[in-house]
Amino acid sequence: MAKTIVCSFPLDDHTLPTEVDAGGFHGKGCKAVTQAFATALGATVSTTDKPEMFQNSGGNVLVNR
Amino acid sequence: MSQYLKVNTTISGQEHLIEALQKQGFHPLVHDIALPLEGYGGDKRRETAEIVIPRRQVGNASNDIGFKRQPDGSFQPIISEFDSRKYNAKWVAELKASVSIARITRMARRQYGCTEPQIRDVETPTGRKRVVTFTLPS
Repeated sequence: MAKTIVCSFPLDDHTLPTEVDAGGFHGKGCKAVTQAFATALGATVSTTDKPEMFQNSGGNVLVNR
Repeated sequence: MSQYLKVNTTISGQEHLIEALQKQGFHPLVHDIALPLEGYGGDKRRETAEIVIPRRQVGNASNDIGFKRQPDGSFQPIISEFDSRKYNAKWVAELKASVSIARITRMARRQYGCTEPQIRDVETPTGRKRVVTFTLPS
């Protein structure tokens, strides 16, 4: 099955989170892909205790579900 | 005089921001240093910006729309109260999405060999979303 990366951008409210779903990736690969997309979006890793969550300087959250 | 409001968000990527504005039909001015925005009467305001949509492109009796460079290189939209009725949170969200999609499309092409993504708009309980799907070559 082909690997996909799905990004969802809110269109009604710029304060809502952007989501990244790295389908088909697992473990370190999953985190690496999500981090690559976070970096491209100007995001940095959040200080959250949930390693799958990233937060950018604009306050948006990227969630790799 | 309509006061300027700083939108509480930033948009990363000057090149893609200019491209996204051009796709909307604007011809933004790009300055090396931030220059004062102009009000609808041609008056210089204290707010400054490096990327400016001139007021005559914004609309009748409109003010310049600015994008002010932040220390991290991103840009903060500055829109007058008068013009924020049309250029509102939805406009900013769509602009930000357009810029972000352009950025990640380039990255996905270079880094993962992805072709053009599939893009569709969907309704969700929290509002409309633009869903962008990249398929990696097998």
